[in-house]
Amino acid sequence: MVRQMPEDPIVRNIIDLMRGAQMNRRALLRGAAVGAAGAGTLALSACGGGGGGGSVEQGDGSAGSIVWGNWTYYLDFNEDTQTWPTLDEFMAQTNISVDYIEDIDDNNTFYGKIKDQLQLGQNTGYDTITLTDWMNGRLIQDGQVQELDASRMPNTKNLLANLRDSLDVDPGRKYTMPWQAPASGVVWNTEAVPDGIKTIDDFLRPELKGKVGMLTEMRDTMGIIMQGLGTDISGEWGDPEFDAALAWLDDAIKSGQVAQLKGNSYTQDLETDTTLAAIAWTGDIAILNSEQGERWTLEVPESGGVITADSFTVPNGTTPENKELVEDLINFYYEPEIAAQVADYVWFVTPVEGAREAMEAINPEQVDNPFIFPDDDMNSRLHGFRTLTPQEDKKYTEAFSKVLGL
Amino acid sequence: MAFTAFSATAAAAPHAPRKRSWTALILLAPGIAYMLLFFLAPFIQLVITSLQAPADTGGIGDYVAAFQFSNYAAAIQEYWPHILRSFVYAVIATIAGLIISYPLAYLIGVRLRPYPMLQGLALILVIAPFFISFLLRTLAWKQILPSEVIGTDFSVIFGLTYNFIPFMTLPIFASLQQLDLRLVEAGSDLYASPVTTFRKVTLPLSMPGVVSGTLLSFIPMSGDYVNASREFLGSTSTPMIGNVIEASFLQTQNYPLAATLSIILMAIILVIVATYVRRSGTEDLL
Repeated sequence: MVRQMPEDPIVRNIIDLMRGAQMNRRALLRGAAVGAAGAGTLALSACGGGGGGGSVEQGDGSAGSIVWGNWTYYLDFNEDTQTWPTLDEFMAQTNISVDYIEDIDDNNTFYGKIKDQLQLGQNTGYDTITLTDWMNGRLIQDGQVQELDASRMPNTKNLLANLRDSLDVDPGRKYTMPWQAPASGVVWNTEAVPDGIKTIDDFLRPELKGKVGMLTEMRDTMGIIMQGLGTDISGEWGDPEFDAALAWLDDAIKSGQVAQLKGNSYTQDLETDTTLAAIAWTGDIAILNSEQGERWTLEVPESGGVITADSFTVPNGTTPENKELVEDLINFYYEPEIAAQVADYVWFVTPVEGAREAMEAINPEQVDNPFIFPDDDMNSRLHGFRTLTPQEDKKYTEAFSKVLGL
Repeated sequence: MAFTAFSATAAAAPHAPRKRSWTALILLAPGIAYMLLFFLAPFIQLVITSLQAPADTGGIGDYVAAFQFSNYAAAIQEYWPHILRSFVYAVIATIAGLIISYPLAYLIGVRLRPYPMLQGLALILVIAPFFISFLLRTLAWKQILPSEVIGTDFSVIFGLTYNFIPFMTLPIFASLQQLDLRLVEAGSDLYASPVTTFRKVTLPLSMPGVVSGTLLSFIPMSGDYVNASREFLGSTSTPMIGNVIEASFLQTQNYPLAATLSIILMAIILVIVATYVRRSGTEDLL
């Protein structure tokens, strides 16, 4: 029910401002950063898609409602109407209401937030989440997620063949379904760093001291450094290769060269010029550039970037009814036209076959964008971080954390 | 005073009827239940967790029940610099807070006493920042302070001082608000200089407020993990012990380490506070 706005123009103004602030994208990102700093209790439900303003029809929610936890900058968003166009379309088509919450900032931190419920099989507060596949592997091994019903998701036949078996503990994707395949590369402020970053040693140039940022996602940061030092991260490697890369990072941090180590909130440091060069996720930079006038250059280095997949999973605590609604949602996002619409905004490798053809109609300029539809050159540069054994995972995660000062 | 008053009453009524003790017990029951449920039970759980050993699987977050007391020695050996840094930060920030808060509380509690309106306004100004989230206020300082300063010891201590100033100001204000100005007047009538009057009259009478204020600031400061976090005013060279505990619980999922460090932190705070209160001669506050 739409409530009548008060007559008083001042009060109206205040309400308008508050609504605007609630849905402002920058505010969402800041909120996510705050969440990352340990404020797990800070609820960000204000940014739920179901609560968005604008004029797009969102259905009546009579078919049920689900909660979707996702990363920031990870779903097409219309700044003018302050709406999520494809999500609104899904809600209008199905009458399923989706509470869309962008509060995943870092796989480990987010897992830490919901692990107790996961271990007890209780409701986590999310019907579906899109963590990264290495973390999904852990959830599958621990039996904490539900098997998806492929017969309810006919569109998932469109999943790119190379992603079908890319998660070794989930061949054929019974428990997971890729949402996007994010790639990480290097970014620099085009004006302040005219020579750019071509190799990892360029991060160590004296003029960049204190202005270099890296991600707290171990696999992205270590993956790029290890490849910079000549290791094939998807092949056979062990402690010596990891330790050499960690020593490189440790030196760079101790010398003050690398000053910022962040989760998804690293984009704020780029915006404020606190960081001039960094390891970054490709899509984030595309969105920043589109919002702030192409201030940054992004490249996947010759030595190699890291590619993985963030996939939908349904935690055990979700009810069977809501699992079905999630399957409807997944099926919807596997329509090539919808996938193309999302890819046009988020700029990550789309996992949906046919999205490239659909992009012709949506935005022909993006058809040859290698960050969405990698060409041979891009494919040769992007590599997946090999799956770690539980012991390696623990050892490397703790060693990485120590280098971050913790 | 509280303890003395209690024992005096007990001495005066040695043969209090048995029924009364039952009444007291019933009245105390909710408090005891609260302590058992929300302090003792979690604390026991924390102790059990702190003694766990890694499981054979060796994976992240996999630990089994054990009596691995060596966890404590290992935690201290590995993280004593973080523990030391936390307490150094907290002590400096507490002193800085006291230096700022005492004159402020004096102004509000004594000088503005004849102007209730102004006094109320000043108090609101002290409390007003509390209407905004702790996290957002700290994040705001990240925008205000020069980027060269962010991530240094200074920025973290600055953040701690700023965030806990109301906890220092309000108890001191409460003490000074009750200060009988006739005693100050008597001091000057007896030819004491303003400094001597302050030292001999005002300060001793406001000591309960100073002690409360310093404790209310120091304890949460020692365990704080927001200000020193890399996301806020800290960097990789400033993590406090709270940051290590947070990362151990949420990122590396090393629960025994996190629990061990929590207990060590708690024990050190307890010793420091008990010593401080004893030295400041205000045991009745405990």
